[in-house]
Amino acid sequence: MAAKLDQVPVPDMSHSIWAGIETQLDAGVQVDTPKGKGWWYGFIGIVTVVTLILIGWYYSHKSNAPEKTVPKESGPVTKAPLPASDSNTIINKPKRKQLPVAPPPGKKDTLLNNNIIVDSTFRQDPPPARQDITPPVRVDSSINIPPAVKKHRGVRGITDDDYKISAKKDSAGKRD
Amino acid sequence: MAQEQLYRQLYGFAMAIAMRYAVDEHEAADILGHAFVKMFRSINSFDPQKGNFHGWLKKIIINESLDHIKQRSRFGSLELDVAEEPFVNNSIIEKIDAAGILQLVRQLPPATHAVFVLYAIDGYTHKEIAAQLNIREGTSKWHLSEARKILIQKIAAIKTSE
Repeated sequence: MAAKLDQVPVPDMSHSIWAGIETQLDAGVQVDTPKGKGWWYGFIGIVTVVTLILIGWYYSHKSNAPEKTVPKESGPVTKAPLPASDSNTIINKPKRKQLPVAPPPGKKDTLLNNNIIVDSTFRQDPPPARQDITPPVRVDSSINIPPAVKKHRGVRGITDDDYKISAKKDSAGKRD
Repeated sequence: MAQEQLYRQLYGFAMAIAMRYAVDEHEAADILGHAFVKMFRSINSFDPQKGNFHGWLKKIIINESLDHIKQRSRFGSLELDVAEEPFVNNSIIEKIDAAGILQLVRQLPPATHAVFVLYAIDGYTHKEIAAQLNIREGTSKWHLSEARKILIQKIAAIKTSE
């Protein structure tokens, strides 16, 4: 059988095959590309280019980032000094304070002093809708007014109910 | 060109080898093209003291052929400890022309085809085939046995049809 196969006629494709061989040899294409050095050089080049692009994009993006945030901060800053709106929102909180309130510790603010004075005169004014006022939200954060601290009244352990006079209790105590 | 002249001189020898492993002429041409490119690129590494040039080129072509076969199929894991030797009627084979025998061989499964040609035509041992194809010797023996069985069946079919 081996002898028979050696006698197999060979097709005449030498010209077409040689054309392909010549092309590959002229192009310098390496058949075993995974092992060739040219493959490594190309890979390193691509990685370098991609890295440079990413670095450029990162720095351009980073430089643009703070510019975008600045206008937002400048907006409320310019609107903050509106006195009327600020005083109205601050009035709401002091309404809950029924005791003479000392100013919050460490926070001496002229606006707070004004609130105390204003509170006596503008209590009955209805609170404006907060939706109309956007800056005060930020004003509060900038002024840093702490939340009202409700001070304890009376003796601890005794509730308001203890001061109430009820017939059942008293009658039961007196009969005995 | 010297390269072209060398190619023309070796074309017949190389193509006959590629034809044994390929399923058709187009695959054989593909194998031959890649093999010659490899040969020209590594010709400086050829050492005449280690062997003749034809043997060196034959190895390159066989390796390229096996790479093509591996892309088409997997080599099975069935194994045999002892190779079966089916009887082949040589008289029948003599009546069949070379092209007919080549067609019969090409009808074998890819892995079986490769093992049969390596062993029966190109003279590789099962140990060498196992190392070449990264399979066990038992697997190589099994493929050879299968090849012979199939060829006997096909030759018998030809005989009865006549």
